[in-house]
Amino acid sequence: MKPTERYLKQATRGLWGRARRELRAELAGHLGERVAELRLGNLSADEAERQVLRELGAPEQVSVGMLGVHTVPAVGKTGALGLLMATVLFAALPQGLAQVKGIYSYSQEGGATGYLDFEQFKASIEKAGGKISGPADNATIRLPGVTAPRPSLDTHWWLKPGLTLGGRTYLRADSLITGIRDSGADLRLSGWKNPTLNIGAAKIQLEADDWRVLNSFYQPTVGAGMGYGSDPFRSLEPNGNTGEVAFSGPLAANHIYAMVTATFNDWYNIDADGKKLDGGNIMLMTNINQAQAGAIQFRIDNDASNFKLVSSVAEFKKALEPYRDQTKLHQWSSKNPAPALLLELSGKFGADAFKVVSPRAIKRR
Amino acid sequence: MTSPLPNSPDPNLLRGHLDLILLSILQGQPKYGLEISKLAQDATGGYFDLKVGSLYPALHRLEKAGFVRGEFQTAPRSGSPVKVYTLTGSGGRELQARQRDFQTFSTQLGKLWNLKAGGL
Repeated sequence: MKPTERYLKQATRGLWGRARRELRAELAGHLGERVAELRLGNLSADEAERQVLRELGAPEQVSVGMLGVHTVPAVGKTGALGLLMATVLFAALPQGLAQVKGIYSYSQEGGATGYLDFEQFKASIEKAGGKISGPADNATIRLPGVTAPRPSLDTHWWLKPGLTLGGRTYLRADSLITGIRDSGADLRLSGWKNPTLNIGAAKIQLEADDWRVLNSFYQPTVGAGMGYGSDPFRSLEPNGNTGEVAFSGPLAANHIYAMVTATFNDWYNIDADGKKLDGGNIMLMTNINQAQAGAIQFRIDNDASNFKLVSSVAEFKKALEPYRDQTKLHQWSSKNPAPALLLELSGKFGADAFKVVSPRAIKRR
Repeated sequence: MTSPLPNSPDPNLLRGHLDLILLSILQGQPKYGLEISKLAQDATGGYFDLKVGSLYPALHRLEKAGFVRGEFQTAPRSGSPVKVYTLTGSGGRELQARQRDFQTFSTQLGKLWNLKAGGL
């Protein structure tokens, strides 16, 4: 192995996927550029390479430093997330509906997501005629009015990780909503701030007006509409690497819209033993918002700021195909823009979850 | 008689102010790692010698925080792809905040140096 190859391998040791490929490319660029400089001073290629490697120092210093940037903090035994930030949200609500508080939390493992108060959710289900028995992490939920195919849900299968805050237990909103949907319940979300979760005839008011929490409520409807085999979804995280984009066109006031685009992020699924299963290099980024008459604004990941709206889910998926080679470094640009979808959401969870808004009718502002 | 400037800062002092140094260098024009390292050396007569082992982790940390944005471009001499870093809007604000903090710290520390024997 050549000295440069050995250096790059050692300097990127411990990193995985995109982080490793990008750092390797970045260090190789540094080496290549410095070697070219030294060769202008009449050093041979071998001499220049040796000098640059001396200048760079020990590769372990790079790998140790990078691990501190790119590794994921450990998750506690109970599955509770390392809580970096939690915002309790409240708002004036109409009387008479069962209310469930939503909070926001960010974790390296789960990203940005909303959580629902377990005890309040339990009370709301019971008020609506259902029943929840057992503790939050091992509860059985019998949904009101659902007889088939799965009249009850067991949270230990699908509600981890949850979190505890101020003595109260919260469950991931997207997992909870997806679980209810998968039970066969007739499920629909309506409204934006303090939206209503309709389970059959039962209505549960979700107490939230923060965009991050509202996005976690509606995101499962987008995933359901994209169909089986979709790339994994992630909500935009308020991490500083986001910009804004605005559209005008025939957008209905107070209707809910989603913008979906793609970013290059390595991901993989694991089984119960932590063994890696399938994976990929593309994650779909969504941002969901309520329109004003004729106008809407979304947050967008800066990595996908060069995007092109497409007119169908099939076209969207086809446009991503050339970029699935994980051995190559991909980046969106004005010449190779990310495909993007603008969707009008119905609040339902199925093939009728959204309609694609035609790019021809929409103008980027 | 005054002592000459040391050839390099104390490593802990450098580590503690590395983000401020990098954000300062990235003001104005986008730069890639080798350029950043050379500019730090050239502008300070070799006082700031940023090693690769601390430079790249710090740049990635700043990128993750959203203070800089990295984009691969083709390098001028070798034609290799190099990652060029640009200061973002929030990075500019962070730089201003850190500059203020540093100046305040330095001013207050200076007051302690000027204390005469016997206190205030």
